[in-house]
Amino acid sequence: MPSKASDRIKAMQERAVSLAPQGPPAPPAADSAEPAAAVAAVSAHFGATLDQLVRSRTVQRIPVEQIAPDPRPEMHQPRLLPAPEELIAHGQPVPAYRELVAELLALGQSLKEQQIQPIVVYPGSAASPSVRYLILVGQRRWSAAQLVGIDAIDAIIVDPPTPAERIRIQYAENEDREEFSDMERAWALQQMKQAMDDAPWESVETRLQMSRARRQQLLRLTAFTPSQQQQIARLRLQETQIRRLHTGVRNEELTAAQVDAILYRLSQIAAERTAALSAAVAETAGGAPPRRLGIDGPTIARLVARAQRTAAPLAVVTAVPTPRWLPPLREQFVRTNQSVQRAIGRVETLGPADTEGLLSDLGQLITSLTGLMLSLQGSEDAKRET
Amino acid sequence: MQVYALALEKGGVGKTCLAVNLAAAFSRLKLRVLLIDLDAQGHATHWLGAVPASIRPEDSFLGILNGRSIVDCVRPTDEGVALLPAHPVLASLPVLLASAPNSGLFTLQDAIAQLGAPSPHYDVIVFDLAPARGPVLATALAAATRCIVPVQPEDLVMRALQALIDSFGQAQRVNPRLRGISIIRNRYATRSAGDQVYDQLLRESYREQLLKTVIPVRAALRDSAGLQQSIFRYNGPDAGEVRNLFLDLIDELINLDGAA
Repeated sequence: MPSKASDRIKAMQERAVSLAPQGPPAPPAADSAEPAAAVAAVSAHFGATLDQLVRSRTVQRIPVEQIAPDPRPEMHQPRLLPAPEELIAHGQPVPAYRELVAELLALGQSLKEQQIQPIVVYPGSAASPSVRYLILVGQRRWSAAQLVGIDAIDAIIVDPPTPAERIRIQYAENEDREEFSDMERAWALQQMKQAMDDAPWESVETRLQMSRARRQQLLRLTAFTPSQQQQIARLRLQETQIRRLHTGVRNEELTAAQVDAILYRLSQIAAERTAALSAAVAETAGGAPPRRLGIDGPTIARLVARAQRTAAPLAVVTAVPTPRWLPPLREQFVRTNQSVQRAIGRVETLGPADTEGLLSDLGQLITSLTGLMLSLQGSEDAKRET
Repeated sequence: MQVYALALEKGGVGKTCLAVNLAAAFSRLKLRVLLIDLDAQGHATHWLGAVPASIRPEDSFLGILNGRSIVDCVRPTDEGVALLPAHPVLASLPVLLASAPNSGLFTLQDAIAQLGAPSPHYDVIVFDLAPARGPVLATALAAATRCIVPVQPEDLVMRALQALIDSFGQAQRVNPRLRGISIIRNRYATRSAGDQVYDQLLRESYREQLLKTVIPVRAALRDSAGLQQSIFRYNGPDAGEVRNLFLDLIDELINLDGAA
């Protein structure tokens, strides 16, 4: 009964359209309580364990210059770790990274004695022709090795990971480090969402084994501008520490310039404390790297309050109201300009008298326009000098 | 996008037959359908008429594992179903997946995510799986929105069913989109008293998951496989009856998974 079947197919086609929309309705929440255990348990259930990645592979000693971070922007680690050449200028640590360099040098010294854990790399190439492997895990140890001049480091070579796998692995690795900051976590979240082709946040949470509340908390840090985010990562400010600051930004109570000023002040405080601490450490003859002294919530709340108090007068000074005469003048300029453009094509139609009259008008106009321009430039210069 | 995984650790229950005809049925409704053959035997690939000589290892899921885009590997078939074919070297897939980062748990999910951007390429994706538990089943269930299990009223099948329901529960922990598991009585006949005991067990213990449609043993399905045609292209005795049964089946699935 083919005809009957085809009728039926026609009738069903309309209903089938409901299958087409992307993204099914929200499913019941997955095991959000303890997703970390879930991935491990699932892998175990299906007969594969997480450390299988490196289990059957042997450790090799690879020259440092054959290894580099992945140069592709989407493959950058969600982490503030500049290239070794950006950390040192003229043989001295760049001031903003002084503490980081000190930590890396200490790590490098311990690597010189013994490298306990191999780094993990995969085959690939970067700008430098000597590079044969790209770093999956261990960029910090690799940077440290370069800074102290170690020639070769222990590494395990694995297959190239997909972007999402790479982010997950690096995130898990960094999560164990005490100095992994909330800003870097927020970057990892954004990268993972991108790597999963803009999958819903709940999938990203599952993959990074993070609760929904924590994810939302971390993403608040993305309200800052990119350069502010860099600064926050450099200062290793945690989300709870600067809650007052990002609340101010998200409620539009603080301008970007005010936030810049506050962050600048925080970096000054951090530098002072680091200097004081490293002096103390030097006196007691300890070789330990300087550690960040906490910048506490009250300090930040105070700075935010101060910025908000000074905000009102600041706005009056910068925003001079437009005088009433200016808009009509500018409109007139636009109209005049159009008429002049049109006149250029029609000058042949003018008699000698008209030509002379027009030339005289133009002369006067040019004189006044030049005068206006000079006085505008003069007042600009005067403002700059004060 | 609905993603159906045809799975059971027990072999010979009709996963391939269901996968091919389910895909063909959806495609008759003018939905864009992709069948991903994850079984190294490549029976679904054969059934859909792909020529073995034209399939290179990198056209199969192995290519995806090595970073190829799924769009570059997919080929059209005479059934109107797009196909990611299998290749005999897929036999190495469990080992390769196990040594991939994270045991390859999310490899298939990531590949399918590519198909969803910027706009979805397919409305329905069907996985045909080999009869085994392992990293391949894991990556399939981590990517699926529904698991479909063909069963017969037999002891060994029932044991495998229980094991699969365990696996399904595990997969749901890492895949919040995996909405449900549906049991389909396939190649079904209750002849002996023993058969009827298991039949009753299915209807009582698995009432929630059991689909109403029952696909009986039919020569039309075997013959159509030999001719490399889905039941919707095959023109033999009983073809009309079996077609209607497959339409019943997708009707039930539309009810379960439709947006309405």
